[in-house]
Amino acid sequence: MKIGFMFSTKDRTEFTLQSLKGIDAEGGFDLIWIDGSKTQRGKELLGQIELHNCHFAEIHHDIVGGSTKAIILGLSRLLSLGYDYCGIIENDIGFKQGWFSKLMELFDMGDRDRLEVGAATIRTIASRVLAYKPDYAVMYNVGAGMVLFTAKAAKIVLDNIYYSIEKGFKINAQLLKKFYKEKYGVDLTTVYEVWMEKPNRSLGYDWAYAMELDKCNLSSLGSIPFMAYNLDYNMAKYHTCYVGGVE
Amino acid sequence: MSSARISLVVTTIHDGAVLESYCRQAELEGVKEELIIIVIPDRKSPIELFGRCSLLLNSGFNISCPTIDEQKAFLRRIGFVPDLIPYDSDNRRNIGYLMALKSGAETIISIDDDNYCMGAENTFRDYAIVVEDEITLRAHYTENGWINFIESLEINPDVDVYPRGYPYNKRRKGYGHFAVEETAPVRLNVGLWVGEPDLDAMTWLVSPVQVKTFMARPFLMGKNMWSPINTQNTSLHRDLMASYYYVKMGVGIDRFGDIFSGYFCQKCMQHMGDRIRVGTPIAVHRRNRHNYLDDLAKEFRGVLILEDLVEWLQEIKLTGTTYEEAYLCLADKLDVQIPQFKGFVWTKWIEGYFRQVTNCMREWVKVCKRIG
Repeated sequence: MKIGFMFSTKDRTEFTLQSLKGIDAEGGFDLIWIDGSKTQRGKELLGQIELHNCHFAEIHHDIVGGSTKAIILGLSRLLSLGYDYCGIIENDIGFKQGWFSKLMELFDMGDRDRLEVGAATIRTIASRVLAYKPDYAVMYNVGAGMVLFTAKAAKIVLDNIYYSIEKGFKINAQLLKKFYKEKYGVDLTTVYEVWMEKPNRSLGYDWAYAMELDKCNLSSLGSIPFMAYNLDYNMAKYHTCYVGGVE
Repeated sequence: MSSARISLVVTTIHDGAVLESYCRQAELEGVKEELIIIVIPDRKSPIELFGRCSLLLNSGFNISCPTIDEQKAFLRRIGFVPDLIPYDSDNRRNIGYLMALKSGAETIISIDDDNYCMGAENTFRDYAIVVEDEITLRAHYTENGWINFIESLEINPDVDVYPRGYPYNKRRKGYGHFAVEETAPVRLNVGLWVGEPDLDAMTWLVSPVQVKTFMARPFLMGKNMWSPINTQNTSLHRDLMASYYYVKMGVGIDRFGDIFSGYFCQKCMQHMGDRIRVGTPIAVHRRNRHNYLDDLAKEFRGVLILEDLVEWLQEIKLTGTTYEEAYLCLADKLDVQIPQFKGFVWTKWIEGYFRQVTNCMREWVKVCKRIG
């Protein structure tokens, strides 16, 4: 079973270093490094950090075009290199010890409960949970900060979202609300980070991951407790928190 | 792109003045109609380059100078991920190689934009020697298996210097040089240079030289003999292209894309039993401005890596009955070997860098096969 993550970086090297420390603490997966740094320090970071476990599959630099470009490149490379699981980690994510095994357990838990799992995250944010199960959460938003897809799901994410952008694919708060209301009767009206006090907020493409996978009968699960967290902001900013444990 | 017999590939961020000398020579030799010139501009290429190419096109030359967007569209059409070819890099030469393959050319010439055509009588005939069945020439051998091309050049001052990419642990060990006449198929031709030779930054800093003339006659590299091969003035048969991916640089390794590529191709050629001819056509190398200390910093990691890598390359055996198969075999062997190298230069990052190189080698073979 081949597992690979794309790790996208762009400057903010202090976060990259912290993030990488957590990643390098565990093994059993490969990384595709995708850097779009503009600063000299960001560019020079590449190759300068001492690593112990990291196993790079590819190292790309000077990738301009923002996170969308990086994700398309990263996921498509992982798929074409034959990875069974293809993930995304951004450079502002911190990890708790044991994060990788906790992440992989989610796929087993899904199997046990007869769910076909398409995506798993250990960055489980309370306001993004669709339903709680005893030992995991079903998510309506897994985000792009830290997520692992099956190859099948990664292909769906690329085809249905990223490769459809040119054809007009969009995701916004109203579309998200409509989908979950109609399918599960869940009302997202009061979720602050969905709306941010606007009548209809345009959302990042990662908000559509779980929804598009759901349309293909694939579930998106989050770990309880969370094992990964954002380094650059506190969840209270979005009127929410991580599920279980402390940062 | 129309069908051509010979394709000349150059990447440049300058105005393309170098093209005039090759076009003039093509007219003199009567190969204008058989030649397609592929100029690959980069993000920094000036508008004057496109103007010059238009003028040459208007004077009847089959010349292509695709914009960055056209390059990307071409790569997508043939199924090569555009992001595997970085910007502001001589690695974009790969696009030119693929366009040359697509043009149907049998002889593919690679020149650097500071290597001017000297105007010798048989310049294009010498380049196209790579499509002849067999040729008979003196083949050079040394006891340690390494040939220093620069020994065939008259240089000033007369000191021992070695071409860029020549391993340091192989220098001053090539005693017992001898030559015998041999008949063999040549599939790669290394043209040498007058003016400034292709030396590494360390050599330029401590022992700069100028080349006056090529003193010898063209010769064959002896069977299983080694030397670094660059892309300055080199031609090859299209069959070799699957093993001539211009290696992407990264992780502190720079200025050795052509050298890695040359060694990998050379290994496949040895396996396939084809030979390398060295000497003419001679180019005039008017080196673009360099900061040698800066170059040294960029080259140093590559210098260290080459010390181990070429030693290993000399020892391994490839399998396969085509260049594609031999090159894929080499990629597989690299994947196994790279983590086993020891020494401070062989970090997890370098291991990752080489995994990317081998991934690209496989993608390259795929796209070359697709083009046919």
